Amino acid sequence: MSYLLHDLLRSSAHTRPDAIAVVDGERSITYSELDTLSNQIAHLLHETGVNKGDRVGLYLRKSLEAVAGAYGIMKAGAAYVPLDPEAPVDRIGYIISNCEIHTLLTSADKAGEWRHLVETTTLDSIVALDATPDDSDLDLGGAHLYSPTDVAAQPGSEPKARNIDLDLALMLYTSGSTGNPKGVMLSHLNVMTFVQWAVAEFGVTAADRLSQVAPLHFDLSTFDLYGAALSGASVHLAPRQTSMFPMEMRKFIEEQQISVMYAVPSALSMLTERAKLEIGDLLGLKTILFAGEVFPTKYLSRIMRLLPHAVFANLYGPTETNVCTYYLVTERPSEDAPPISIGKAIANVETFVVKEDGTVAAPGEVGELYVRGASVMQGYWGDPERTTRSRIENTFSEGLSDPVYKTGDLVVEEADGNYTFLGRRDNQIKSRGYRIELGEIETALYAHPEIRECAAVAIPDEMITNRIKAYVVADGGLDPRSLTIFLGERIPKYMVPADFEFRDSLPKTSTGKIDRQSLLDLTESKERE
Amino acid sequence: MSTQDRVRTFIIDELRFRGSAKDLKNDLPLLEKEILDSMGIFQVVSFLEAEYGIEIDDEDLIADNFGTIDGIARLVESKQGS
Repeated sequence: MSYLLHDLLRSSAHTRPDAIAVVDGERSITYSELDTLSNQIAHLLHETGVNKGDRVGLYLRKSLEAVAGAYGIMKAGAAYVPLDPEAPVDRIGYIISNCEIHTLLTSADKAGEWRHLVETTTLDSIVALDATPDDSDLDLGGAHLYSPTDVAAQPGSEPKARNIDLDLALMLYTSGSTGNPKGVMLSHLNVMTFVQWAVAEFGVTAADRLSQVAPLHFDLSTFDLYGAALSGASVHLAPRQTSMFPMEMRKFIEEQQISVMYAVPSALSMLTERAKLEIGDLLGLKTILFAGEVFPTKYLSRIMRLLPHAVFANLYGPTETNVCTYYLVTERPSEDAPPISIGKAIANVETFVVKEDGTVAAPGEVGELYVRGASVMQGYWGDPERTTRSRIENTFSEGLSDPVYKTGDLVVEEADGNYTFLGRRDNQIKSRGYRIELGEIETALYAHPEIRECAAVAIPDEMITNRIKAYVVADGGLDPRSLTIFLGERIPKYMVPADFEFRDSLPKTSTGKIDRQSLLDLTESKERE
Repeated sequence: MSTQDRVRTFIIDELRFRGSAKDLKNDLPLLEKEILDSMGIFQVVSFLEAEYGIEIDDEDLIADNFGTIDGIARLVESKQGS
């Protein structure tokens, strides 16, 4: 039995060596080739000094090389850290130093950023997986540069690294309320728990063709990559333009004959509304899984009408527990029905609701959803204090000593045992499936010398869940354009507010804090105008 | 002002392009260079519809039509002619 994620690849390479493992546009790679290539990458990583337990950055667009890189890193005994190729370089630099990455797997189109990253972080080795940069005199400030030729020169044999399922497989950085992203540490077991459950629950087989829509730094990607490897199916990387053009997404699903798709609801809403779908289209698409935000019932109802042959399931769970509950949508809801349930716990996971007073809630009572079991993360990298705040001792189940994760999500258990999601306990929001801490946006705004006060608020939006607006009190003559550019150097684009409003002051509560509620009311009344 | 220049001005002023007008060439790959993202495209569509009185259909929303400023201008011309 495979218990490490890269064993899934080895196993499929053994049983289905010539089957297609990954499709990237016109290019594809078989299981056997992917196994060999990732072995070579692992050997090279050992040469750069990577050891068991180290973290290695994966800084490139989704590609055959990126997938091989993720496997290669795990085969070297290390954990991979996917770095958003579209994020500002200083945020990438923060993550590299935060988890002490010494070796970066990257692509030649990022060559312009390498020197800056070497000079400002712990980085000392760079491996270009796709091509050697044109500029042969590239000055990397002393770091060693490896090219695809160096990878190809390595033996294709299995590298020597021994791991257990509790070792880290990957780290995903998510938005942090104090201004910096935080690293969620996920073991092989954490991911395997979800992948094995999902493959069994949705009957994924070697005949399937899985899409890979979410970015690699998003936990949805673990299903696509490792669900395919577990079942011996192929995974098809969605080109970047599919996220921008619904018609391109439709074309991708049709041309690649995708049968299993896992995406955020906003991507599915766009497909529903703007891809000219008619009943009877996309007949090959038989399983549609969604997660990351509430699926507006209007669009869920419509897509279920257009694709009546497909199975739909709502998967729920923060990155810290990956998916922990799910709801199979067996009946098409009406367009004005309340949001669908987040369902019940998946296999090997237990969930319960804890009330404000610290006692376990009965069905019908509102409380915070707690999760225990094999999918709960190992903690936040380098932040034991934050870890103990949310990954707490289990004082709820007698005789169980494993930790419990507090999701921060308010839920209620219905009479049928399914949970209904009610909202957040804090200032975390979702926008287009991305998880965003409003505090991180505010910290980035406060870094501007002329900003005296600011508050970021979320405005509900039918299509993308929330739009972000910032209220700003500034000394000088700031304008939205310069602020957008300023923020663009500090936080990812999806976190940059769509609107700015400049004010002389912000409303305050009796304790002198910024009164978020009255700002929300103000925003709401303006929206209605 | 040519269609290309009007689109360029829109990208600079409204989409808050970081560089100067001369960096934003007519054949610069807007999608690959991450100048346009999914929200930016919808803003461009609203702008074109209002500015030129044309209607851009869902099937026009493809990478070929928004890949460059020239591509956007061609889309506008084809819509005006139809």
